[in-house]
Amino acid sequence: MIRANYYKEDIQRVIWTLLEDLAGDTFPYNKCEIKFNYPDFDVTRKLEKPVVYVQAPLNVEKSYHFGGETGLGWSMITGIWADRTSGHEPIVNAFVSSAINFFSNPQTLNQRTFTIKLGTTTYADTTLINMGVYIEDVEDSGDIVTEEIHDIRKEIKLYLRS
Amino acid sequence: MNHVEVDISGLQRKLKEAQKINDKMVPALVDWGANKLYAEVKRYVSGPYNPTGVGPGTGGVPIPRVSKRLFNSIKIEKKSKTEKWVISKGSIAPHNVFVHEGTRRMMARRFIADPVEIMRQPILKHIEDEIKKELQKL
Repeated sequence: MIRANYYKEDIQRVIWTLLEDLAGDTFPYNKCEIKFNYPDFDVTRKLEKPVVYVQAPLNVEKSYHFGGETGLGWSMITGIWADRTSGHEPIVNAFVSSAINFFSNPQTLNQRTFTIKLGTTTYADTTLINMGVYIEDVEDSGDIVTEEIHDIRKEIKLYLRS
Repeated sequence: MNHVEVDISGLQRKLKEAQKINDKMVPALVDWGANKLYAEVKRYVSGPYNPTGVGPGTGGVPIPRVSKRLFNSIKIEKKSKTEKWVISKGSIAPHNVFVHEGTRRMMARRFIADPVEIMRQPILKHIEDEIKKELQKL
């Protein structure tokens, strides 16, 4: 389970690990490099393959239930960045479509297992829902403006609850 | 033909009062929400003056600044009585979009999108509560 004192990092790590796991065997994730946080310049300078980046979530909502239990709502940006001249545009489009489909389909999403280490505890063959992360919505943020005219960059926004 | 209207249930009076709330209170609440958001966006871009342009950590807010242009570019634009936008004017800070979305060399610092996400729930809740309070008085 994600730790209450490390919400932001743990949620980000769970989503990143899930995408890393998909990159092991599933197209188009296997054609991409999955980065934790905004990619560093040494990565974006080369852009040898499309770079997927998973940014830290932003706390956007609090809800209180009986007994004082608090539910937190988060919004989180995941993007993909590629060099158009390398012919990676179809992979970028496939990633956005596939991620929207994957995150908005609870049946397949909550069956996908992965192994993650949070703090000192390792969770083997766990799922998103077992880690206490629930996807509420996924939104296509569209094309993002880039400084380099050859770059192509798109983002999706995940709305999560923990 | 003459006729007499009798508002037995008080519904007509209540509808007129509700219309007054809509006409006067909603624009005032929209103003309040826009000002709240504006203040939050300003806070985001009011980082310490940093003449070298080399930021102390790109992930932290407020954004370190080389000039006041980004700070001064934040404006409230009135679209209608009940619609106001908080914007960054490109004519004042042409680099605003690259600070907001990031570049190959610089991490994105979403100085408008992040405050919108953070302030959305408290602003909408306040507006809803205030309108409910007035409607209950009817």
